[in-house]
Amino acid sequence: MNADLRSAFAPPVQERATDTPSFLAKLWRAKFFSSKDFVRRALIICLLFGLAHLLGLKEFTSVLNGTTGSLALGWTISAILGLTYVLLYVALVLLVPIFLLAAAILAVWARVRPRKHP
Amino acid sequence: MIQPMSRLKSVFTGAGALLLAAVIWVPCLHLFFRQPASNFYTQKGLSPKAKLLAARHLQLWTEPASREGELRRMRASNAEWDFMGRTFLVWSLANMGLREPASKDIYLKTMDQIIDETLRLEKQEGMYFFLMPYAKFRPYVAQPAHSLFLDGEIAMMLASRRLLEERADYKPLLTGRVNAIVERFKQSPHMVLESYPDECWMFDHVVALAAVRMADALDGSDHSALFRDWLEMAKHKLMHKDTGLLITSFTTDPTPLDGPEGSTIWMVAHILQFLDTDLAQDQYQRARKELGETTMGFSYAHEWPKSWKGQADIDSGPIIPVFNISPGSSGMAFIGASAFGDEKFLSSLVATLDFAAFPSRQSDRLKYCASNQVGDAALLYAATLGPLVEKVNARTKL
Repeated sequence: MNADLRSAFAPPVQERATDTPSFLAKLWRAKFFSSKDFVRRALIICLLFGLAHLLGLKEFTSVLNGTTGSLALGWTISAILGLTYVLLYVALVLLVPIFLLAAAILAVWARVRPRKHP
Repeated sequence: MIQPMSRLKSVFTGAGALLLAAVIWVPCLHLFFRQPASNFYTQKGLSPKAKLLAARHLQLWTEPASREGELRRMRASNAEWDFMGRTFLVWSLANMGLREPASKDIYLKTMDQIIDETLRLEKQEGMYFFLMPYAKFRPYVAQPAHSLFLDGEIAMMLASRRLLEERADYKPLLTGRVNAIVERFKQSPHMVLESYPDECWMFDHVVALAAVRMADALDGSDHSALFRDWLEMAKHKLMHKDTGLLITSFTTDPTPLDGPEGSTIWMVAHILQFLDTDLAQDQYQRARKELGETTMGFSYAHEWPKSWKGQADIDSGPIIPVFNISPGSSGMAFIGASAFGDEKFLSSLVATLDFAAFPSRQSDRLKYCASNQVGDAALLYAATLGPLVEKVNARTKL
């Protein structure tokens, strides 16, 4: 097939970009503040916290009492790492359950709310 | 295409769901951290947390490399913490030995190691080794210079060791230090002694006097007149009028410097149990009312009462805004709650500790990452205190 024929049978450029997302991208796409959006946010927080935990940032939370987490890294970097862990932890224990509960509430609401009939 | 109205409606619905979820979740959060106070403090034997904390501290004193790392990190912020980490641990081990006589030999070995090393460092490096740099910025008012912070806590370490089991060579060391403290109290026009140049601390005064009382219990001396006179002076000159709480620091005049502070008063209330049980109880109740707080099932403590404005410092730790939580005061509140059997407060303090202090458990050892060695040693002391007070008060009458 020559180049002219290929371009004649190919979908328009805009259509290709928007209608052929990967399976994961489709799965990931969600309406703002929808059930799926909340679950997605909870997952992101879990992943970020898991990463911070695996990297050992918990040791740097000694910044809360004024002790540096690492003399080698210095006070500023240690404080940033420690506070990052603290913020991610707070997000994990406060926001993740709230997001998941909210997702569940929306799912229940979608089932029980009265629907308009045409 | 989604209609703008429909989109707005779904955002509002989502926001409503979030709000409802927060209203459900936030008040329930503490239930996941709630535990009986006996997990932390028991009247007899050792609580589960005391055992775990103690195992970690005993390990630090058998592994020099781990200890060095911990001490260097603390000394970078405050050399006092190196010293107080030692003293809180020795006092804890004395209480643990009295609670668990079968393990006494292990505890005595570590206590002696700490005491000997501390005395060696004091002799070798001088008293400034364990003080913050500003101790050198101007001369002490009373000469020759002495720090009651060091003398009182070292005396109490020596006395605690001897109360657990007599050690002949520590007797003259304790007697010498106690006699020097008593002599300086007698020479001071206002019965106040410096820890730093023209800076006197309530914490150090009550610890030093408790050490003198422990020496009385051990060696049959009697300094009850000193205790009575000092307590009278403190009630008249060192009390914050609005709260009835003892102030934290003062000059040699004595002019107040810092008013009542949580990082001091919880420990002061407990140590007063060696000197005046009624005043001790009174100070605890007042501190509980002015500084203790419980929000959504989590307890913590403020550094200052509402009637006193202070600045965050090395003792208070960074103040957590909105709730005005002082890590220093909250940590020391464990000592007050354990000492005065305040189980409800203690139970919710433990919930906060496990929620917000990042416990890290490795096999049979526990540390709190948001704390440090001195903080964990103070927690261990809170989890084990009691037997030393009972033993001293049983031996001598107030």
